[in-house]
Amino acid sequence: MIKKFIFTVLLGLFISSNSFAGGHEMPKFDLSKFRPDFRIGILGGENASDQIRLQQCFADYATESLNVPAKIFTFKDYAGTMQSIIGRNLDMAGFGASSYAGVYIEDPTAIVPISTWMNPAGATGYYSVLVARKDSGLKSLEDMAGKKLGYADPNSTSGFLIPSTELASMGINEDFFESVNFMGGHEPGVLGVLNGDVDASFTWVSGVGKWEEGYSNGNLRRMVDKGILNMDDLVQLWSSSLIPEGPQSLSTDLPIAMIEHMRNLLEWIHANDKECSKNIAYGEIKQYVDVDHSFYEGIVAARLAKIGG
Amino acid sequence: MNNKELPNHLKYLEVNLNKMARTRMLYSIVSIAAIILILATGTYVAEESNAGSFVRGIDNFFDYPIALFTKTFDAGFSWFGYVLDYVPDLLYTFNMALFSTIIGAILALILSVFASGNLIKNKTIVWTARRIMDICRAFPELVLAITLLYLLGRSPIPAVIAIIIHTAGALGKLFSEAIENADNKQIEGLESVGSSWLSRIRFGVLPQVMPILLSYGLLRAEINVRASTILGFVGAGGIGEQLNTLIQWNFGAKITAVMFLLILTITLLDYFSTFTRQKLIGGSFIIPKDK
Repeated sequence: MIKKFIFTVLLGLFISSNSFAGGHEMPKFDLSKFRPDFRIGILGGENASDQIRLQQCFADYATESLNVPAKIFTFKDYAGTMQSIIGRNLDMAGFGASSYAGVYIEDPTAIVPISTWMNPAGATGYYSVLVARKDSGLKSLEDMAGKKLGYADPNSTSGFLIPSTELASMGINEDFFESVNFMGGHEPGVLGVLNGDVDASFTWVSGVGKWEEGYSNGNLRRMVDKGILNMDDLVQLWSSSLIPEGPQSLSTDLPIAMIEHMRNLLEWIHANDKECSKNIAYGEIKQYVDVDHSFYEGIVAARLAKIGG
Repeated sequence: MNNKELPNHLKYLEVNLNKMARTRMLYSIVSIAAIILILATGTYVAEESNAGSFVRGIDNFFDYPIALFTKTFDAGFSWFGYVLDYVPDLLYTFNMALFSTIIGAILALILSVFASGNLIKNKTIVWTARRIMDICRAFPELVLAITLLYLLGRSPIPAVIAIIIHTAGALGKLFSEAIENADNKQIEGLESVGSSWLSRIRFGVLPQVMPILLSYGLLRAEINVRASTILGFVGAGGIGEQLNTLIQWNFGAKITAVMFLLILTITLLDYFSTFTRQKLIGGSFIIPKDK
């Protein structure tokens, strides 16, 4: 009797969760034949407890979908995630364009990019912006002469590669500023601005959506959603040209069918659990878009020119 | 043994001895088993929570050093240019280390006088001074520096304060031990002719302990160069910050250039320490003459 009751309740839960999912079956792939677990790496820079808390929903879906336990691993900086996947110690990681290029330059056979996100305006790109405190009185990049500048992470696209390249092409080099520092990530960079450690720091935004919300997705949106940033405190001094969105990437050690499967799973999560999709994509996105290496060739060239191999 | 009947008390002793031997053996087996169990579960837990596997990773062990040296070799003569490029950063770090060693050593000297039982007769003062040094020493520089960097912002000042505090504690302990081991005859002699407490320290203690104090100080300078390099990794600037960025970019040649500079600095400090100590004591004390 009790067994039957539990069964009915479970069945009911299953049906209701499925109906919540719009009758759409979660894609399944039995990874247990190949792997004991599925290891997801998060690009470093945000504090580890937030990373795990916000990405856990993805790991739960992956566990259900792949029939192996999915685990999340966090890193102090971008290089940690990059070296781990090169060393075949991670199965999946979401990279930025520059960190993907860094992995590709070091070992072209290590990872394969599978998909990236499209922002609500329909662009598969985002922007690097320079933000300062509103009460600092700074209005534009020119005001930064003799001030303290913060970059996010040496392996970040929007936090270093693109702004440093574009600044150099505008004839602004490091001597223009009082000091130039790496802040250890996007979140520490903006926190450094708020605390007054640096006058302005580069970070990434989708560039569409409302400024008050920190745009539709990106680091500022993430910080607003977490309640650690009020956009009224910030002012934007500069914005880059469009940067290609970073890829969700898989280790090439995985079976090839995983590429299609993980693309489907990400789309399924986006379609069926908006909250989780928001956690994975640092805000609101329109959809996932399939990508391959050719999408990042420009960034690979830019990275080789700026940072080298 | 078996043929002869042993007296009762000896038999009893033998039985007892065997019993004790068995108990000891049992204890040994149990504790060895417990250690193996702890090690095994610990390794298992670590292995489980790691993305990589120790066993799978072991053949990658030398990949990184090999890659570093390959890249250095590929860089050719431009490597020497890299070494020169990082000299200003090294000087910045060296300045941090030297400044904090000097201030730290002065504080240590003051503390150590009060922590030495042969100079201060009041036990409370000695106890308090020793505990102050314990507290200063207990905090690793890194923990202090991270906290201070968070409070004071990214600059060398929090790092310098952190190193000073740790240096004062660590050197103070060594200094006070050196002072306590000093020969009391000089002090008593000075006391007998009515010299003041300060002149007893100045003429009775310091001449005896100065070489050893200086030697400890120079050793500390060496340690502090390393410490201020590490603090660069967490935002104090200098060569550590550069090294951190280079490691993140995986620039093998430049990483080895910075490493070379650091090793060179430590080696030079070591030579300088030996040289100064010999000058100070006429080359007859501690260091054997090379002939």
